[in-house]
Amino acid sequence: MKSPMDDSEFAELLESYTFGDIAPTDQQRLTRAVLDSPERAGDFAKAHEIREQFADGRFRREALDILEEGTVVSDIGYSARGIIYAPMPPKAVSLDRRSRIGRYRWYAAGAAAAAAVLIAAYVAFRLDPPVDVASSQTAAAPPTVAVTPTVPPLVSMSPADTPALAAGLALGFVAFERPAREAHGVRLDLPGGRSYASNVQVTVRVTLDVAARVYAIVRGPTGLIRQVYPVPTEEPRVLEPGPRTFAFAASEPFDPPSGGTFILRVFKVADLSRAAETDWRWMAGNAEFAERTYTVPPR
Amino acid sequence: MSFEEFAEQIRVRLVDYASSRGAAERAGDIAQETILVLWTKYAHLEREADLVPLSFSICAKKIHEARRFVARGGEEMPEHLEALDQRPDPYQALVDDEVRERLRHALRRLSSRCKELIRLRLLGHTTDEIAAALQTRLGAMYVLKHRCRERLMKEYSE
Repeated sequence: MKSPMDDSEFAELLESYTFGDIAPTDQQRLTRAVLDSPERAGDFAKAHEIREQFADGRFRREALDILEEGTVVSDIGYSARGIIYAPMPPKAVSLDRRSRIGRYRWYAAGAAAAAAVLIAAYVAFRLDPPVDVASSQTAAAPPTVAVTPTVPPLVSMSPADTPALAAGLALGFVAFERPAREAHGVRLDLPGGRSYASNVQVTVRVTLDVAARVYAIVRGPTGLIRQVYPVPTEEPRVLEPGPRTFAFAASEPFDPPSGGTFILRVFKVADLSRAAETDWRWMAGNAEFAERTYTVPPR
Repeated sequence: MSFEEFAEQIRVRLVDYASSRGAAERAGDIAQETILVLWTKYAHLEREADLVPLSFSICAKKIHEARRFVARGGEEMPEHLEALDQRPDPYQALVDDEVRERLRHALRRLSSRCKELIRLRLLGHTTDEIAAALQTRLGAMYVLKHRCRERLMKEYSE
């Protein structure tokens, strides 16, 4: 099936996707185009890799430093097989002096003309009667470039600005849109504290007042949503009143290596006639829940 | 679109992607494993806009796993041992470093105008603001954006 999107529009959307400011409807169109065309899928895959790197606050900052460098410095080479090897050879320098002069002949002529104009202006200025130097300097001041000086925070991106990790938005928008408040029918404790290394299991103790199904969902620092209890391949079970413990990995491979704050929400579905796992929106909007946060340091 | 229909469409793209990343022999398996992860862990996602990027992320991880498998001489690592050992994976760290080094290299190779454009994009400025900062017309700005993205992709791919 041929995609109705033309190449220039695809390029425009891909550019927005790379830098994380694509609108949700445009992202839908972009991904549809990717599914329809192998060439576009290849371009998308590259853009996606770059976007994932830019989404990481630390690398983003480093990229900004590189971009601020005035000169091109390529001291590390890269092979297609992924091995970092010896420094790149310096660029070949043309030894043909005449060709180099020829290449810059027009620049030289322009510079000479500009110099002549400046000298003429200087002489004319000297011959004219004295003027108010301060006012003439003010008038001659170059126009300021309208760059907004404010720099947005680099790591506090909205979930929609993050790369593939926005994948959890379908559930995340609803699961985390209600403000957290103290739930009475479900108590939540993290016996291991509030900070975990990325490779450590978070143990959760849930205490229920009545028999209910329980669903635990974690939102990572970049907005990625994952269900941590029950494991999606398991049948949800009705838990009896009282304490119950489960554990899950503090972070997943798709969470950023820079760590951050994770939010855990445990929903209690006491209405056992509800199949919450097929009706997330109902559960997220209606079920009682308790919330805890924990942090993961950089890997 | 059902998940089955989506899986069939994305599978073809993932096979191409894995093949283009030097894993042609196992591209079919990698694509299947990727879809299995989508099915088991992300079944709650419905929109292509969410599933497609996630598919490529998972597929990239699977490609690296396949390379590691080859590097081990074909020795299969039992699943349960991998699950227990969740320390930061040195191989994965190396892969991440490699990707970043490619991107650093690509950024350094850009023209000063493209550098400034991308810098302002990363800082969250709009196209209008960037056009003003670079003192260029909006129409020319779109051409410049396109060229810079192409250049970045080219340098990143080399």
